[in-house]
Amino acid sequence: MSVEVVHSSKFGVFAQKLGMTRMFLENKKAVAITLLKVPTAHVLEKKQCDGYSVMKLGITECKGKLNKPQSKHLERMNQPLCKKVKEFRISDQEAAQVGETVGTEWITVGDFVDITGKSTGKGFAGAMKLWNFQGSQASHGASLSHRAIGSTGTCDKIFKQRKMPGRMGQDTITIESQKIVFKDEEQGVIGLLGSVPGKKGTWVNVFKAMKKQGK
Amino acid sequence: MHPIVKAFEAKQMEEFRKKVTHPSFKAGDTLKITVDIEEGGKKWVQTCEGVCIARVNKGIASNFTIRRLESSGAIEMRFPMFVEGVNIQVLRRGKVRRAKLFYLKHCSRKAGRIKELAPKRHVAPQAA
Repeated sequence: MSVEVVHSSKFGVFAQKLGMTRMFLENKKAVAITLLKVPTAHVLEKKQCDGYSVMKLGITECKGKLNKPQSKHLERMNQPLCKKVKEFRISDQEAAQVGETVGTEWITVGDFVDITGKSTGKGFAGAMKLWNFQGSQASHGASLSHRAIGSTGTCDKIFKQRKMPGRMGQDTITIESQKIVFKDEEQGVIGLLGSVPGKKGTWVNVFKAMKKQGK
Repeated sequence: MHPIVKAFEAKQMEEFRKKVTHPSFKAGDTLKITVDIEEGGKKWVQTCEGVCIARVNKGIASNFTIRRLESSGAIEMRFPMFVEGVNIQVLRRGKVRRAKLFYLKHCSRKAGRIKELAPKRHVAPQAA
């Protein structure tokens, strides 16, 4: 059922991070790459709203539960029971029709993609780790205060946006223009240069690069 | 490691082994390495000799380290195992008890010498 997707400036799919490894390019250069699994996604809906068009993609090959309203809705529409559903913006309405599937057909080696995902959570972190503060002295009489934030101001109040210790990580991060260097269409696996936010097994979104065109 | 990542590495290693076969060597052996280099349209071969002080087995990222003594000091170079253009020749088998010979860095030249491994004696096959 898969169709050849017309290259459009906006397109995106789900992907799962498998891990990082090494690859040798043609010029014998060793590069660090990240492998992503792109499962077959079903196009559930297409619509146009607020001046842009979206397609709703769903995948069944993932963990998760469906509650009764969700599953009944998909059943009534004669659609597969997708546990993960998200709307992806597209610029071309003809790209893929409802009922068809989308995989890695729209990606070719040499293309550039943007990856959006959640970075690894680090928990409650001090100001040195979170904001790159300098900390205080290691010696010269310093006692029990080596990684403290120091003074927070001279007036009676603390101004808003003061950088202080707090939760670190778990931010939504987009890494732009990552180059595709490997693709296995049968397994639905792509490999791209560099790293991707999150741990192994994290779900990320792969978009066609906004700023860089593949050759 | 995810099975797909493992298979990805295994496939690359298998393809490499079809083309190139390295001799078996371990830490303590003296090696002669020739590297084919291509840069800016020029090609040349770089040669270096030294004692293998470490082998790291990490799938496709496996590598080994060569240590060589020169008049100005010691030089250490690390080479990947699974890249074409790195040719290995074993000049001498060393007799060592460690897998990693990092202690050589703290040895004087005389103390850092490695004895040559005696070739294995011929063992008569036992009568069945």
